[in-house]
Amino acid sequence: MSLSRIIAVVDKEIHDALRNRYIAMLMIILPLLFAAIPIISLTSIRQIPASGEPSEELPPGLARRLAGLPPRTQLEVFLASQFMLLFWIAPLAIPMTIATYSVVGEKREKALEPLLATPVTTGELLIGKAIAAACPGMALSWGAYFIVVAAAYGIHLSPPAMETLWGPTAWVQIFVLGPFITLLATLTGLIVSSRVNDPRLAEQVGMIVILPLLGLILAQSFGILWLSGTLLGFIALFLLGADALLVALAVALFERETILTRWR
Amino acid sequence: MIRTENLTRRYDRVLALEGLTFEVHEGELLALLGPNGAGKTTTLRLLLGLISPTSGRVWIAGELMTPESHRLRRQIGYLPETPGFWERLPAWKNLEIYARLYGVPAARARAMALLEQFGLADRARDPVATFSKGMRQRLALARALIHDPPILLLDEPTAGLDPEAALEVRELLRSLKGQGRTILLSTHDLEEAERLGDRVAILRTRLLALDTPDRLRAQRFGTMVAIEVDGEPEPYLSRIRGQPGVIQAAIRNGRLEVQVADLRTVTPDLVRSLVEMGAPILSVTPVKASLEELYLRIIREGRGSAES
Repeated sequence: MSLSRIIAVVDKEIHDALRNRYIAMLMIILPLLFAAIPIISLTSIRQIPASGEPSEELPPGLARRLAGLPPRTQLEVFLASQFMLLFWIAPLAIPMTIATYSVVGEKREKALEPLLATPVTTGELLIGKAIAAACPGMALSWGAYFIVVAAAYGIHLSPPAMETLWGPTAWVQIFVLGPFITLLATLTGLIVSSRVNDPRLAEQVGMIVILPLLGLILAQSFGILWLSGTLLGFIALFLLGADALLVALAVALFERETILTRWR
Repeated sequence: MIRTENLTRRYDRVLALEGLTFEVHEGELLALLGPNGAGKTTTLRLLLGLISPTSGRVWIAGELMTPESHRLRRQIGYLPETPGFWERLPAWKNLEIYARLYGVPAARARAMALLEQFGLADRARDPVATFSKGMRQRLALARALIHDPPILLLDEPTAGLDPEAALEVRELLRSLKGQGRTILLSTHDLEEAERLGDRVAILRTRLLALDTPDRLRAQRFGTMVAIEVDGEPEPYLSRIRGQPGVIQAAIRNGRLEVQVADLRTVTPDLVRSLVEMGAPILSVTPVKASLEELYLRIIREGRGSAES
């Protein structure tokens, strides 16, 4: 495994992605969107009285967890915890688009054959592509997260809600789980991309990875589960294993011969 | 430098290549000829280890080539049938990335030097998508040379180019050959094969012929001489046929075409006999069958033997 070849692949992929108008547009619009939604939502609930009777509109499970907090704080904590999940999804769209296009697109441009004729190994190629696909989405997602945190400080979010947004649990979600999930999505995209010859189909199939995350959002919003530190630790371990498995799977499923000789 | 042994490749039920055994010597340019679907591209991909053979083996610079021989690919520069670039990236970046993949030191400087050498320096910063076909082909050659390989595998480098661009590429190939590189050139252009190739290999799933064009001509057509006389050549034909060293004689295009055992020794005697017969000789010209005639004959023979 050569680090310099992996870096060369990363360099190529990032330069290529930055010159793709569709991806460039996504890179501008998505972070703005993912920063704007939480800021607008958290600002809009400022008119709810800071103190009073607890809200009866929260799902029973969630209401139990947030019992004793004033209604506005309850809502702020609830929203902040949901937005943390949003930041799991936020970095996925861009990497998925880059990853799904990377093999199919290269094949379409007929650029894959000369690339495979170099000393680059399948592992180096796929790791390089995965890193390159994951990095821009992660960076932009983190950028959006920092904007939201700054805005939360600006609007004087309640301490429990602030702790949900900016604290050890939040950091694990953003800086550990975020990259793991992004890598998972990217590798899924790469695997699909190396098995089909239509980038759109690859993107649609690859998006399946988002479904379990949507399930988590729904489960938390109905109070069925609460992402505690312990649960997050288990999820992180699971994702780490899944990522390692997917790297091996991606290398095994990347059939140079089939890609070169069967795809038209 | 390049050696194959009984190389066979099937794609499902389709036999793309069968029992190919040949060698390309160091510093030699071997032109690989054959109709579409003859197995030329398959051969190049097998030599590179991009695909694995159904049976048979390939050696590059004395080492066995397999799809896992990543390090051995440093020995080879490859120009595929369709050059294939990262279209949005500038020309220099395309070359620089390849230089880094091959582990070339000072990759950017090497990329710029090659762009200069191939007359593309003024377009170095333009995306490859804006390049003409001729420029792409030059860029593809520059890419194949980025790591200064001793072996070049070139798949139809002049296909689809206008005459001027094709000439430019041929000149480049000539200079690469002059540098002592071992080149395997797959082409449909017979004139190009004859001008550049030390030997030609004619392929049609199987290897039908492999030698210098002159030796192949001598094998297939013998050595011919055309004699033009003033008036009808018919009266001289039967007497020529009896001459020592004459293999066969015929009248074509109003002149005598004589196949002789050896041009240098038989032709003077032949001319002397004709003069003695009173033939008013206008010209005596050695006849060289074109490579096209040779190619078509070999391909037809190959087709005939395959059918039988």
